[in-house]
Amino acid sequence: MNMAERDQLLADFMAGALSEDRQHVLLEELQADADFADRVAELLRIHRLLGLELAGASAEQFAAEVVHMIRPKADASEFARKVVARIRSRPANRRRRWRPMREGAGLSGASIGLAFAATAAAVLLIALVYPRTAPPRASSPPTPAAEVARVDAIEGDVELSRSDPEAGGLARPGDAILSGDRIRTALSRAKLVFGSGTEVLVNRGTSFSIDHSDGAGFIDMEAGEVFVAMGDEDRGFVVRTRHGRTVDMGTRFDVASDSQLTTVIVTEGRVISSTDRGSAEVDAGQEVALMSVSAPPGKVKEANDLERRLAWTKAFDPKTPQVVAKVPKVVPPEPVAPPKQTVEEPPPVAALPVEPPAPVPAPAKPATPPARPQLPEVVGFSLIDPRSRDPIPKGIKIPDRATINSFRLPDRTIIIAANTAPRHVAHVKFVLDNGKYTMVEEFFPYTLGGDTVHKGGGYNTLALKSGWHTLTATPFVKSGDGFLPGKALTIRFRVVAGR
Amino acid sequence: MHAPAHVDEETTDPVARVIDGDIDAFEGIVLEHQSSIRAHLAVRLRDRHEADDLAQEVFLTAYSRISTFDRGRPLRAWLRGIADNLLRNHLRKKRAIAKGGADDVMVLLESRLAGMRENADDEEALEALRGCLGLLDERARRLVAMRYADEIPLAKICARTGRRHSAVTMSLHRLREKLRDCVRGKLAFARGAM
Repeated sequence: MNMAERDQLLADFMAGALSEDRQHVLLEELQADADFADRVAELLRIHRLLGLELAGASAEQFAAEVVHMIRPKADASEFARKVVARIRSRPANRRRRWRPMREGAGLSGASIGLAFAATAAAVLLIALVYPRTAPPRASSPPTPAAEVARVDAIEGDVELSRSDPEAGGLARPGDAILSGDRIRTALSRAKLVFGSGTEVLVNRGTSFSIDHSDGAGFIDMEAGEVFVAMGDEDRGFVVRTRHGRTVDMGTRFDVASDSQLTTVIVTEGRVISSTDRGSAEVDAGQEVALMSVSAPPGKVKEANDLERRLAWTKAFDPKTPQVVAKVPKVVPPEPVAPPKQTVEEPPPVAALPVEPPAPVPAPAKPATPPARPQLPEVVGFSLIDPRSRDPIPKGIKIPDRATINSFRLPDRTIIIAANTAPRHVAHVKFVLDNGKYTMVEEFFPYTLGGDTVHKGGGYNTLALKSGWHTLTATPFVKSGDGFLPGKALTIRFRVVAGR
Repeated sequence: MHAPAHVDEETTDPVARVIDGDIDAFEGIVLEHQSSIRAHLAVRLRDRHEADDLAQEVFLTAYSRISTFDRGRPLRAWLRGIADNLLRNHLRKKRAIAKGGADDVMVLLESRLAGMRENADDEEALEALRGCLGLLDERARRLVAMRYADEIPLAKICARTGRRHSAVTMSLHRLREKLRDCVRGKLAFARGAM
């Protein structure tokens, strides 16, 4: 085998694209030539070190995680002697230490013993702390055994559901929240107060269930945003989303989650946000992004523009807990000046020749989603004149369910651009027709099919068949060594070609 | 384990401070030695996450046995010994279930890597690699970042760069070779061999 063939074999092997037959060929080559085997082993070493260097957790992140796993052991060994003194001597925001949850950690005999000791300690802690907790309001009716919180204030219609269907319905101020209840806001907001004094503000478009079975507050959030302000005597409060979990360590923090990302912002004290692949300590004034339970948390960074991002929490002024705030007006994206192109406005749904997808009842998405100015968003799509060489091309907005008649367009060519806010992002990913076509566009303007406008060139043509299409564009922003997705936008549109 | 009853402020030996219950001192030890242990394990395990999990286990074991550490000996060698023991056990369990053509290739290569241990310090190699990455041109750096930092699948890299699969895999292969030669040169220079 000559050098070039060996190189191709190695290139494919490292890419994981070697067929079984060629694996045997490579094995024979390695067995026959020790120098070649050493050369490949060195390449494998470089390959693995590259993974560690470029995608591994930072030294600080790694060390912090190890220490968090150790701390409970140290605490448990001294617990019986020190627990009371520690609780009383430390400031409230330094009272708790929580071990991040990690799957796959085996249980040794020692750890089982520690777990037993910790359980016993927890029982003692509950006995010490819980009786001192006060109900949220002096005027509240007696608290049932399973009641964990009360609805303190609402804005709009907030759904409260529980296993007993007769007990569910629209929440009202003063309603008891039981362990296992589900809260859902669509265009509404709510403020809940837990027995320990912890306040949870619930933003629009939020859905979660509440658990209090282990003595600590636990919110299992499907989507939306909550702001948690811990009571002085409360213990670790957990907010879990599809991307990871966040454990309070005596603090005030915000958790916002959608299908792609969970963002945790801390305004006071400290939380630990963790996934199966690591954890991050987030201090006051910082934020972290969780992208997946199977990926390490993003880098902890300074949280910017907090006043604006958390402005929604001011809807519930503690001095006027019954306040019903005005819903701020949705500010539409800046309209793009229409060029002389032809786009038919979307006909009424009933008049469409193709049945649109059935409307989804009770949308969980808020009219004004949680503000995340640090993450980009796709605010709309535009049709671009394919003859334009304008570096900032003007376009005509494509509404959802629009019909585009390519026959009436210049060059009979459909060029679709995603409009992002801010205008320039790291890249935009397009997914057409549920993945039949995907592409990533790195340069503005971000067009489906790509372009060389940034270099003074033109637009690439992507042939779109007649009929209905679904297009999703997701903007990404550079974050440390990787990219964070912003808010994606999906539209359906119909292509026709005729006079 | 010693009771963390009192931390002597005058003690500068981090091991003594850990034995006295100073967890922050142990964090310092982890920070100082993590690169060596993680690189050592990352080179010898196929899954980066698995390697980091095992590296954590190394430090947890070290913490639980810190009182048995002979302070007259280098801490790094002790940690490396723990890592090697845990790695051996880990591989023994894994090899019992791993089979297949690609596995045979990997087993052979990993045995070669294990043989390199005497000659190559993985932390030094990692340090050299950092320097070598800085020498890549912008295009190469972007390709390496897509493959390793962003862990973008090759098919998507091809779509993004507009290049064929074989061209991308060969470019990455050439880059790894370039980096290997660079690392080798830096290590040789550091040891005064050049």
